[in-house]
Amino acid sequence: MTQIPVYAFTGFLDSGKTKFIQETLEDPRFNAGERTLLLVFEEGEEEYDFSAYPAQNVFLEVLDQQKVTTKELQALAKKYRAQRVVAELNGMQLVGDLYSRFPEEWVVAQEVMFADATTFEAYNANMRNLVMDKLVGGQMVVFNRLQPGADTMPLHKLVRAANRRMDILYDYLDGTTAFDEIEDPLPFDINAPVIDVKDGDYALWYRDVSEEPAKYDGKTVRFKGQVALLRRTKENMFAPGRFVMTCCQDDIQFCGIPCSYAEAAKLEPRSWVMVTAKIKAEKHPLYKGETGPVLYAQKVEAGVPAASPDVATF
Amino acid sequence: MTKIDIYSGFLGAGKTTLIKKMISESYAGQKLVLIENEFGEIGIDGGFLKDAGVNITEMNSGCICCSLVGDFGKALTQVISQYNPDRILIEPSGVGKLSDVISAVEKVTSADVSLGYTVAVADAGKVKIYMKNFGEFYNNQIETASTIILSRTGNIPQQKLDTAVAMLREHNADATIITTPWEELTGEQIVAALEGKATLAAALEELAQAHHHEEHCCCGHDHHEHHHHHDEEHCCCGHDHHEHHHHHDEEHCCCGHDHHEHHHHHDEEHCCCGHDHHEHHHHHADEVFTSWGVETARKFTLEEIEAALQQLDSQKYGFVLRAKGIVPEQNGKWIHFDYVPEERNVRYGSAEITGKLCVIGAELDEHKIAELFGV
Repeated sequence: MTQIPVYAFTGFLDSGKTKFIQETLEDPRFNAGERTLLLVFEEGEEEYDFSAYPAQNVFLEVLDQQKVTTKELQALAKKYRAQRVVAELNGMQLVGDLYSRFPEEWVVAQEVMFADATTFEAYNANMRNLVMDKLVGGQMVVFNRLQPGADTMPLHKLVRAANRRMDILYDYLDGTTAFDEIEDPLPFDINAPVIDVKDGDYALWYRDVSEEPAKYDGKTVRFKGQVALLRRTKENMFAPGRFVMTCCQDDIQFCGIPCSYAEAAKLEPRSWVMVTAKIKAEKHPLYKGETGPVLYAQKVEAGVPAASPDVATF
Repeated sequence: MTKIDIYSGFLGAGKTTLIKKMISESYAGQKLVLIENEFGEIGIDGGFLKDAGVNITEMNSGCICCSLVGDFGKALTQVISQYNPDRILIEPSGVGKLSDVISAVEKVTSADVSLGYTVAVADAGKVKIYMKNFGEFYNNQIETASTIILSRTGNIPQQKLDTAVAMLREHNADATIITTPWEELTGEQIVAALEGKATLAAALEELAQAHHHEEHCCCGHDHHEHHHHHDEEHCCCGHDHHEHHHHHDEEHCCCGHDHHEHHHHHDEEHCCCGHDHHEHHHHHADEVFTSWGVETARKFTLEEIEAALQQLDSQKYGFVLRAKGIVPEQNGKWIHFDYVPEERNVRYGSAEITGKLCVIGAELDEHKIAELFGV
């Protein structure tokens, strides 16, 4: 089965998606004549101008993002013999919801978010789950309509809370653009003999060690967490961790790391413990065959007071 | 007695600006509490609220995924017992359904607490694309509101405004729609709209009443015949049934005051009313007096109005007895006009919440009249 790459453009209405897609398809470097299915799930003020494209190879379909089915998408790709898909997504819908209905042979090659800097913070404050949804999976976010000299730190922080690797591009009103090069030092010293993770930094540490386990291989860490038992691995294993909230109450989930500890069976589930352990980057059933962080406990102190607040945030 | 008013609308629609105007111009002298369920782009500054004597309660479950209803009811009950206000203004999350907020409010209503105004604030320039792309929650706000207040109507082309109003009407046939830029309206006018007193039906009733009072009869076809009536007969709606029967069959007669007496009329008697639309169906099918009215955001010039009114004399549009209108001019001024056959009074006057045109008469050709006024 030939794979069909999908280029997905996300963001809210009036964020500049259509304009960007239009300009990209006008550019012969991106549009060398590949048969392109252009899926539009959101119809804003801007319209597509097909006359400006270097070839007659773009086929537009306007669809309802909530209702479209895998079969319909498959049929459209077949109808136009599409070699690739460019999709303009609806900002008020969840990206993953649509991806789950993509035909098997469709592979998301790139996901880029557009955001109007003048409304982004208000949107984030009121529709945080929808904003996070666009940030977590994207490779790049473009903030436009920025005043030259504007403070980009609030935007940077919002993005980084959701996605550490995403490229951030600032598009200023005077026509200049700049990549975000703000470094975020971790709030703990990963070169210390024992990496001391404070209660307020657990979410950050958990994300960092999950994304880059190799960086922590062989190091020792100390953190406070709650006891979770692992059902499938009986032999002296448990998973200390914390409940982490990314957006709001509805997305709270337990983020624990498998830990080898001889006395694991004696631990009270959900009780608070202070764990000091060596980190190894290795395969574990929890990571479904992938390499991830696995802890080897040196010391587990029971009966410690709960972290406050008990739910960890970024 | 506490009334609970809800100002819904998507982010950036201008809810906060409107609420500020309402607090300083419409709610003066009332004890207010403002419940914010949204983090606005422009916050209402504390100083302003303090000066206005408003208590503010923020509810920071401001995101679509967190349920509003549970905490919300609790917060409302608390606010009522703590402050015992005259009014509670709620600014709910812009991505929430107005009907959900209303249900939550209705759970706390009692003999002393009732639902007040239910408003949807909508950015006039965005109605079309929001409707197309947002779907449910946006349409729910429009469909549920009893008053729709458009913002930024002054900044968009006429056609776009007309399309927006038409789309809103499609979703809500009954709501009062305010199309006039807010700065041209007084708080009193907005309240009248919110109270449902600024409707087209109300305007038509007023016109019919004016007609009734001044002419003592809405027939006007045959003035000479009228003079045969007794002086007491301010209307031909049958003070004296016997007299009625003396009328010629062709006599067009008005009434609408007393339905029971209607039945005494001959079938051929043409009778008008216009006082109450609900009463219309009591009349006989061959009545000839009708009223036509329309709300419009269209802008006119004095010349256009003069020319249109002059046309009404031609009888090509039916026999127009009376027409009245208040419509905006291009430059923010408002044209007021009154018309009776051969007599026009066109002048400038104060702004209205939206343009209104009303005509009453016999055998009105509504399509032609609409065309004449370009609405």
